Amino acid sequence: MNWTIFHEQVFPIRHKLYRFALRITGSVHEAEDVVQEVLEKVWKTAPDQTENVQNWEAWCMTLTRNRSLDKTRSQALRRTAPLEGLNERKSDNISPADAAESQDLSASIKKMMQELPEKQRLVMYLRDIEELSYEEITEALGISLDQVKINLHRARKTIRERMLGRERGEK
Amino acid sequence: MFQLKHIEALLEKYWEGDTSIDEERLLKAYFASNEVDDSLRQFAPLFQVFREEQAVQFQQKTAIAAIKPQQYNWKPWAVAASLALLLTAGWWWVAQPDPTTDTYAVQSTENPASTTQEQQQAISEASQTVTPSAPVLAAALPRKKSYSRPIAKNRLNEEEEQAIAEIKAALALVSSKINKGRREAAKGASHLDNVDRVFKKKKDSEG
Repeated sequence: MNWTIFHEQVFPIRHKLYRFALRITGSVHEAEDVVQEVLEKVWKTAPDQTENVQNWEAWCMTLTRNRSLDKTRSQALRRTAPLEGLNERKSDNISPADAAESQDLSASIKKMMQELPEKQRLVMYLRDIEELSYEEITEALGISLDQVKINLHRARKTIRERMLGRERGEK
Repeated sequence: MFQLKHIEALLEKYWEGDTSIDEERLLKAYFASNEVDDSLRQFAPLFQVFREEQAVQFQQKTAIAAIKPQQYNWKPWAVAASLALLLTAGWWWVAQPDPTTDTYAVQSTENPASTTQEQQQAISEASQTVTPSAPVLAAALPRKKSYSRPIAKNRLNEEEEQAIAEIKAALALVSSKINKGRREAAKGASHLDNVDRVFKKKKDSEG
């Protein structure tokens, strides 16, 4: 592996890979292990195996997904378990009551997203949080473009309905 | 700054999954601002969650520390280069012909059976004073070599004369040393004879 490519194209996306692994495994420690293994694997890959790689981010995402799924299956982790270690950013200039309500809403939405079917959850995550293009999501998840669009549409529709339902329930 | 109708239209496209990444970024910026309309405020937490999750970072420094650029391992190359240098130097040293022997080689090739008069004379002088040992003879006699190389005539003569002069000097030195040794030995023998005579006289007088 060329150090320049690694340093400029792979290393900067480590946070993205970590979040992706965290989204799949649901465990900070597992996600850290996945990222470390992926980075080492990419670094040790022979140049002739990487010469055809056009999109390093999508390629690394694919490796991260596969490794995360392996870990999840082997350790039978519950993917719907609450995510550990997510930074809960508190907004300034808001009252403690509002902050508590905001945290409650955030936790509620995260739970909604985690309860989505796996493909919908990953597609929505890669699009809305990692801002990947449809083509990159296609490559990272190994599914067709149509499947990406369908899963994204269903995921967002489900989240919208649940948010509206929650709003109605509160009122 | 943000037009409500435009944002509402974008939001509808978003739910359908038809927005571009730029349009989605615009929506994120809108819901992060203080301009969110009350009718849309209920969706603000969703985009806040996106921002929160984007802030999650990989903290494990040790994992990255394990991945460093491989340092160039120059030691094997240095050893190989040193070895090659030594071999080259050794070959060069061995391949360099000895100028003195070359002189004789050329000479012997030109007239293998002959030696110069000076050489003959030097050898005969040495033979008169001492029986030369094998190394001395070996050094004095011309040696044959299986190869020769052209040397300029004047250079050949100069080297020839120099070689003869050196042989003469060496033989003279050997000869003088041996003669001196003989004289010292004879002197010592006469001293022994004197001592013997003294002891004989003393013995006779006591007897």
